[in-house]
Amino acid sequence: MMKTTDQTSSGQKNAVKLTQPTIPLSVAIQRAANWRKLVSAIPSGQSAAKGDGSLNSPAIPQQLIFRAINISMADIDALRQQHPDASSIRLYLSLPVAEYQFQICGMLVPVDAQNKDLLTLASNENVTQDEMLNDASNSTVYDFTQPCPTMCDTGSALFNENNSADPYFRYKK
Amino acid sequence: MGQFASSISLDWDQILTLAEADIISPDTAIEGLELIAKGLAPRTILIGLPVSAPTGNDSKLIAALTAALTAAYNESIFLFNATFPLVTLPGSNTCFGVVLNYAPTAGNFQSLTSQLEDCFSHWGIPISLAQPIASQIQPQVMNSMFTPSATYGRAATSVIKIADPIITIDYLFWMAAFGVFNTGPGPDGNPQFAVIYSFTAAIGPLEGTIQ
Repeated sequence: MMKTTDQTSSGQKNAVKLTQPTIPLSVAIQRAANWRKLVSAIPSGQSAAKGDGSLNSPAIPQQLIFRAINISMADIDALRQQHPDASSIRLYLSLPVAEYQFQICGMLVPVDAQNKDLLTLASNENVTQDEMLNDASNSTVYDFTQPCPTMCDTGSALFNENNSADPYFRYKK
Repeated sequence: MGQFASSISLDWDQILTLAEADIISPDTAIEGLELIAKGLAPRTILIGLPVSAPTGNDSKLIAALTAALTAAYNESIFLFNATFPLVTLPGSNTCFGVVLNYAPTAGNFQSLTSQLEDCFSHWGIPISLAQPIASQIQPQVMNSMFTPSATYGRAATSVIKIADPIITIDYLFWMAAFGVFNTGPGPDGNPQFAVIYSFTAAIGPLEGTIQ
């Protein structure tokens, strides 16, 4: 949420109101499609096995294009409780197992008001540098995200622009 | 939807034999199966199949089927534990296999419902929960466009416990991993399909406070 102020024609400031930084669903569908198009156009540098030899095969198969990262709301709540000093969360992309090139995952890091990553807990001076680096209990890098693929909603219009958005319109009953 | 060659009623050899017999073009199938194995490989290698893969048949197709099934099995358990960390998953509560002659009809979940009912019967879970879960899974598989994927959900059982002010409802938490692959052209020349899948589920409580 962002705080904004409105000014009337008379120049008087209205009360602070809250606006959400949302974008229209149609724009989101187009943006997601743009991403898939870009990724599928990255060439592997090798000729396609069944092509005419003049075209490069895509580096990432159409079926394995990285689309999204799923984050549990409960985990975000926990992170917020544990880091009341954070003003935002930064999501770093990562590859947990180097040979599984399509299992891209996120690592969530709390960020302070000066745009600095909060990478470790504030510990006393008895904690060694080695423990800071290698002991998970000193770390504030959270690893609880799930990538799409595989954790997808394949019916979503953000997964595929040819999916209808109609079933996703929500109305109050 | 198709015919299920499932671990709930068949052993490992039978699943592979049925799947192998159903595949028309091994090269086409292997390409799809290798992609499923890649896509569903979990972040950590943790489990391994409950039964060993058969030995003695070293065909490339059997190896690809084995790798894809193993990946689906591991991924469903990995994602279940990651998504529902407070729910204990019994070791036996996973069924995996291949859906042969996969040809789904939108809105018709009977075949998948029956398969889930079989699984639930073996696990002591009320079979009445199968239909709503099937109606969630099938559209996800149909929309997947050959993207190996996983989906999950929960369904309330009829078990409610009240210890004022705490109310506890038992839910069935479930996870399904799947991948569709092309098995080659059928008699009419059109491509035929099959699905690698693994489904896992367990009952766990959700608590709330009565105001």
